[in-house]
Amino acid sequence: MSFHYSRHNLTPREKRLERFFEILPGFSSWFVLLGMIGLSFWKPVAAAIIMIVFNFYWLLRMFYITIFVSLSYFRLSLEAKTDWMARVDALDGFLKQGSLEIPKVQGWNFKKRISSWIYRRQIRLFKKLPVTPPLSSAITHLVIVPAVKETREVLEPGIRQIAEGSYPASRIVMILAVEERSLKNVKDGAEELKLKYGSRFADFLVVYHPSGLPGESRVKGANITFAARRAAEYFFERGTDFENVVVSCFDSDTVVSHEYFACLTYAFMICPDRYRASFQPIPVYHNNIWDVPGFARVLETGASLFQLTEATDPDKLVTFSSHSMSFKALVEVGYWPVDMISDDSAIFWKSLLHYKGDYRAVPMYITVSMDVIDAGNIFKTAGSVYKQKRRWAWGVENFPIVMRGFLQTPGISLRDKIHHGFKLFEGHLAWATWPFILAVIGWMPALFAGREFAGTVLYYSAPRISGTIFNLAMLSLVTTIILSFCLLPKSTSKRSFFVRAIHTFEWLLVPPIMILFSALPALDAQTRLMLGRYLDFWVSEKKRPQKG
Amino acid sequence: MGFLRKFFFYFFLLIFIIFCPLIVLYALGYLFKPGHEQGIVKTGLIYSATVPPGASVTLDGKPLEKETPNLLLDLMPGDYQLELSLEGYRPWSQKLPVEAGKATVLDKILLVPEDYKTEVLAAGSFRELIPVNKGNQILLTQSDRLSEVRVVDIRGEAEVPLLTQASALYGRKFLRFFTSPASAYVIFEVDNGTSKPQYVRFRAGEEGGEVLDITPLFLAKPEKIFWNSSSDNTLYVFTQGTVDRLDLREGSTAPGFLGNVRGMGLFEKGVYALMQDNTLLLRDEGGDDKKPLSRDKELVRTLLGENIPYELNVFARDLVLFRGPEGQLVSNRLPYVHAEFGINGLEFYGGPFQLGPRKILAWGDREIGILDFRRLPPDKEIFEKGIRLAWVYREGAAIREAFWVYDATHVLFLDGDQVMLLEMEGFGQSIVSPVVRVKKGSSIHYSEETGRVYFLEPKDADLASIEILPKRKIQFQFPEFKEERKESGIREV
Repeated sequence: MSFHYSRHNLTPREKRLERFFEILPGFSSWFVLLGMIGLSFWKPVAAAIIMIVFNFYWLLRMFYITIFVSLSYFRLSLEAKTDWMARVDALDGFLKQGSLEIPKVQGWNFKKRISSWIYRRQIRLFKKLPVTPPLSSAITHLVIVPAVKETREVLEPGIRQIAEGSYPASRIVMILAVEERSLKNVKDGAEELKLKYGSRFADFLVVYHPSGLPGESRVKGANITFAARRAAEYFFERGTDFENVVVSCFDSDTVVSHEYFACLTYAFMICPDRYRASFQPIPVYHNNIWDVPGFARVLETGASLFQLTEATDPDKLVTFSSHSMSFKALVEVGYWPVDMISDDSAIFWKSLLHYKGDYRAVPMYITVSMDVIDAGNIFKTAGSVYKQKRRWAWGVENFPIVMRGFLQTPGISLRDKIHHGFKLFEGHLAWATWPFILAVIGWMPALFAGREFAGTVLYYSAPRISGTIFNLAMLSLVTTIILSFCLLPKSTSKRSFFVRAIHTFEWLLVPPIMILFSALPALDAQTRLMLGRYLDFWVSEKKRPQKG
Repeated sequence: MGFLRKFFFYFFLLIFIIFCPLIVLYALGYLFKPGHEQGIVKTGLIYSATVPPGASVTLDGKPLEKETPNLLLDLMPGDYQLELSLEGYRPWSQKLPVEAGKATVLDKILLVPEDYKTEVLAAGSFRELIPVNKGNQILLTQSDRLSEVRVVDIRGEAEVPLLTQASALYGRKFLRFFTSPASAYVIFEVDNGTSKPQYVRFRAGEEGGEVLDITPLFLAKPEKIFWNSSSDNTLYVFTQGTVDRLDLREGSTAPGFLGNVRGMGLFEKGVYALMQDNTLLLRDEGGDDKKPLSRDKELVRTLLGENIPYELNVFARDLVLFRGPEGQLVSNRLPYVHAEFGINGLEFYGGPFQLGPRKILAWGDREIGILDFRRLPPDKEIFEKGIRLAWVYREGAAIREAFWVYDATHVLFLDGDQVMLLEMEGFGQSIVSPVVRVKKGSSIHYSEETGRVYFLEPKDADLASIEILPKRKIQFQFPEFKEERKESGIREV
């Protein structure tokens, strides 16, 4: 029997287990923070030694991450000019004729040569696939875009980009998943978009999700699952094999890269386990990056760099935000959870448990761009950013369910369970505690030093060693700043150079930004989960300038 | 990418496993010293900071290319001769012990200038110098006439006469004056030609300002007048064992507020009284008694004798010192009797915002001692030692005044007519340096806020000042901590 991926309708034993794992992350975070504070008062020598060990560990981890974020960015830049449709056509050619010629790279273009080398390796593996993929012409892309408050101005750029992309829109079925409770202007906007773009796609549906369906919370997952079920009926009626459908779930403000669907098609076709895989692009927040306050810019660029790093470890990659997957798999696992906020990551865990560990997220080195929250003024934006980050951190709600799932799913190896479980737990613990420890708590042993500690060599050497470590960590910060510049789009401002120069200094605000808009929301989310005060879904404000 | 991940993961893991213990050991002071018989040794360090900073550092005769504030690391345990020199200042030198794993800290070294620069603040052939208002103002008298009393505000160094010519009291003689340490008010006993003098209260620093005739409130000629800066309008007049309470706001007198009193002191709004029957009580302004401070009359009699008047110095709610007419010094802390005779004065130090270690400076004619009331760890011996008066200087002749300087690391004192600076920061002998000579018989005042000592010059009796503690040159060096860094901050002689 498949594991029921939800915290509702549990047996008493399951409920106890669920509560235990719900309490664990928050309790651990508070234990670490308060424990370090207490230790700084009562045993400052021990606290100082722990801080030195932690700072050194953090430094090495920063170097490790910096190496891989650089490699990942390099890979992203390698593929920036890749003609994905040509590669898809080449695969089709192989499937039809059995031969595939990879053109030689002319000249000394280093990036092209490496891209070509990677391509050759992929084709070598592709040729050995036991199960051949369908032709690209047989593949139908299903795109689901949810809308609650988003007007036409917010939705249209993403739809237009899909319609005008390199991949034929005639092979794409577009569904706008609109909440029945949405205002009239939202519904009217959806219908207007259907009218305007409907003819360019294979089909364009507007699906209205009724409120208050049994078993559902007011979450995005319920809306898109309802739309996906409608899509399943749609494909069933037309005799479309679910194996040939790839579903992409985007946010309302997502604007995909021009080559996205070509890249997705390619990734789907060459993937050996295409029906046991999600496809994760690199999310960036470039739609309005230069129009928002500096702290929001730094935060979202940091989020993109984090995803870049995650992409280098496919064994542990989890879906986040906009992503794609086999529709067959989506149907088999039972769609997205309808009672959880973090549907994007939950679908990965749900699939992993359903397929007893035989599921993965495949990174795609192509970007999807979204909006940075902009609530009108800096204070409202700060409040909205805080809430958004708390919602992201609410992904911790998956931890108890995943852990219960691991206990109840015998088919997954213990190694994989420990691997995934530890990463999930450690990731949330670090998220909520590290900025506090690095910026505040770490200095407490020296600040509250009593006579015992203040007369030791350690009292003087600890700040010096920490200072050296932070100076070395500047290497990581400088690399991050450089990569952020490479990743960011050019400013359209006339004072582009000035704007970019200011952005450099914005990165110096990382310590308070990380505390206020990363660690604090994470601690907030974990504490709520620990206390059983579950979050309601809150829709982020997204604006588009009104065209007069 | 998977291979690279594994490679870098194990690479950094190896670095962590190898270097982390080495870093921790280094942080604790361990070093690998090739050639040393044990190989790995636990080192110590010396931290030195001077005022002013920037002194050149020499260790064991070898000049180092370093300046204060300075951290000398990786020192093998043993004794080191540290010398600090700065142009315009006398060289400072001390032999310092370095212990394994420990820091030898001298972060309050006050360099002594080769020549102190005297600044004249007010010319006037002054007779006396009286600090008031927590020492922010100085009263200067040229004669016994009120018209020749001047007030100098040391913060702005402005000078005003006490009275304007228009005042009815201008030109009158005064017989005595009474001050309270933290109060801005001064009470003068003014001669009005009768057997009953006039008592007038002035607010120091306000020319022609608040002048209040409080004569009607006095029932007898006072021996002493007490009041608190927290309650300037309530006076306690002590006369032959009786205390009258004067309420200046209401213009009323409560006669016999306390009777049969041997001694009294004020703290916040409470009156601490040592009674003739050997009880100690605490009475509030309203006349209500709080819980008696001591019912053990026998103990009080043993410590304070019978019928001996004592001056009560209440430094905190739980810290009372009794000073007797022959310089006996008794406190409410073990071993209670700290000196049987010879103590002429006391000066209290409570640290920044009164949150630091509490110390009392006590001086006699020839010596200066310190009572350190910080919390001590439990005694290892069965008999509790309590707090001892530790003598830090014993070579005086006629010590009249003493002041804490630079967070109680130095003492400025007046021995006869010579102002001296005693340094207690260090591990060797205390260093005493002469500062300046003052007018014979006059007093001095030191302000930690300005870092200057105020005195009357010997020749012209002008009010002058010398900078002892250059305030602008104290850098923030290491975070302050509340307790003593060394086993004992006091070097006894």
